[in-house]
Amino acid sequence: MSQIKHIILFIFALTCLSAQVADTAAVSVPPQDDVAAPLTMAAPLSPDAMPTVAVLDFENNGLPVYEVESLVERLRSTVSSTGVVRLLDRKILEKILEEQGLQQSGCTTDECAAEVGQLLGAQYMIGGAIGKLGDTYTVEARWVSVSTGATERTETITYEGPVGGLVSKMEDLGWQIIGAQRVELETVVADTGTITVAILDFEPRGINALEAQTLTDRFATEINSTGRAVLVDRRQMTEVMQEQGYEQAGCTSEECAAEVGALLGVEFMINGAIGKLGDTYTIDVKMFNVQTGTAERTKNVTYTGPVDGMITEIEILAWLMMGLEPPDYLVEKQDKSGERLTDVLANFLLNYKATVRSALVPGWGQLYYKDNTMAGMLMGGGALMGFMLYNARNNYKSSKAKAIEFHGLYMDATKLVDLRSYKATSKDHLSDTKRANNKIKIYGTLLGLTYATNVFHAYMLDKSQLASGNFPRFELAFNPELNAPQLRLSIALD
Amino acid sequence: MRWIKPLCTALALLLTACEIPNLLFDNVLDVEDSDVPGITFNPGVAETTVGGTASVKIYVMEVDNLGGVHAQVQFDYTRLTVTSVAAGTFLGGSTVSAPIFIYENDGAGTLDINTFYMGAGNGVSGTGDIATIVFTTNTAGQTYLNFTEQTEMVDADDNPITIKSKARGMVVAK
Repeated sequence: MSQIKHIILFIFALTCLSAQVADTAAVSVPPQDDVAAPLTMAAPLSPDAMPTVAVLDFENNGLPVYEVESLVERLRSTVSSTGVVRLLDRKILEKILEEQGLQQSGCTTDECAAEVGQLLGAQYMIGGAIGKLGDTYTVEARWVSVSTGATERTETITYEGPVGGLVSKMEDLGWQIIGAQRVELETVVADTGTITVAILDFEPRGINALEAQTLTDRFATEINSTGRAVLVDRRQMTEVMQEQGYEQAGCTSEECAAEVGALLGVEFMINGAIGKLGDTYTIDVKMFNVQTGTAERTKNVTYTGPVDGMITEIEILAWLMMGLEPPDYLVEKQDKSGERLTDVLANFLLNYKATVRSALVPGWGQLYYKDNTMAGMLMGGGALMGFMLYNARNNYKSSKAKAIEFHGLYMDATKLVDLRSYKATSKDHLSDTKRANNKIKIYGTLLGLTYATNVFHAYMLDKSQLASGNFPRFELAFNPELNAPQLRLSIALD
Repeated sequence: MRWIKPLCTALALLLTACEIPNLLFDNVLDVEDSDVPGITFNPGVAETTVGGTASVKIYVMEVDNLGGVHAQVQFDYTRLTVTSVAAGTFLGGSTVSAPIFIYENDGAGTLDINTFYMGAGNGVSGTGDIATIVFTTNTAGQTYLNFTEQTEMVDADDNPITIKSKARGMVVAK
């Protein structure tokens, strides 16, 4: 995302307000544990100067295999795009593991990771596990130094909600595990002139090969439309690959792509993967330089909705991969058509569940959506109004009973002194009754409004917010400049 | 959404269920200071059925040192018949002597009630009933009960007490 996702509105801190300006030109690294070697750079490093890292497949505890693959792929894509480390190709890793008679997911110990890392020539290895217990997902990632064989850093995330929401968490984890602070990086491919590109079929994960191929074709067509790239004919590429004994579907490694790219005489190769997590789709695309073998640009997209809505996403992605702004008609199409409309339809069931929950207990639906701030406000507001209403109703009942009681005494009295006393008391209680009745109306109306707001809010909540976490929220964050924790309220404006 | 209707109904009930009671402060004995001492019927309006009986008390209000009362009541004798007249409790409050109670119904719509203490220096103060009259209704409709100008009150020394208000009563036969 190129937009600023969040603007910090308020900073409630142990110290007074201090503006925190992120330096987008440099990747800064927050203080790490003593054991963790921080990765720092003041300016983008050349690929050779970057530490080399390989990401093992994560141990799967209770999720479909393709979901774990997609999530780990997003982690790889994020790590690769940080510009802080150089990610080693997954296929080479798989080959070495195969030679060693290991499966990736079976290499769970630090010793194994270090051993494989040495064979790969990597300096660091990232491994971990993804587990699911009920609706809660837990992801644990380890940063292992190949030279020492020790885990230097571990990061754990716990997440409750639809599996699609894990995608953004994996992106966060990608930054955290390498010990870098998240920034939006723009790649440095020259944005002028024409380049020659070949596109390999995207790897399908959780969708069928035909869908992946169709999307790849649409991507290639759109790349062509940008006018920025000269595409190698698909047939020509297939012929070359067949001559070399490759199948397109099998050529997913950088090594293979570079080899094919060299034979085709192209400057850049593009490959990628399309994954499905629940009803959320992920697209991870990588363009690398055939000459240097390094990734020049990586982009990823997370999309929720039916698979045909991916077409617009992938068309936009094609422009972004070429370092160009997507044309307005595509952006409008993204806003108006497929995504938004289908999002609403796709969200209906979830919204219905949240709405029913909120209808039963104000704030429950918001809790279901993890909108804890709103849930707290609605629950608190509802409870307060309910208490005030209950109190006013009790006052009304007791005042009314007393007014009637003293009126009866007044009617039966014969002494003027008693008459007047009973009359005054009865009238006082009658006034209290009227006041309590007015309060009942006010609190009842407020309670009704709170309730209606609560139900309406639950119904209108956007599921994509859940995935991206774009809720107004309080969070505790460490401010490295002040060397102190801060409580922040952030609200997404996009 | 099926729950919307019951929800709105419940909310509407909650908001409209609270009614303010309509209390009428119309006790006939509840008079202004400028209207006492006075004499009145209690209840102000006695309701019954045709042929039924209605009991009405005569009250004196906020009198000081009352020694005797002559109450002359007029009514439409074609509509009401006096069934009985009994002494009230107010003058019975004296510890000196028992009151004398005499009444006379002329059968033509005038009822004279006299109640007094014998001798001087024997009086009571405050508000209380001096007689209870039971009427039988003859026809349907409203019949007014009025105190005439002959109605008077005297203190223990037989000095007249100025009556500032004489309220009329009503018997309604339905």
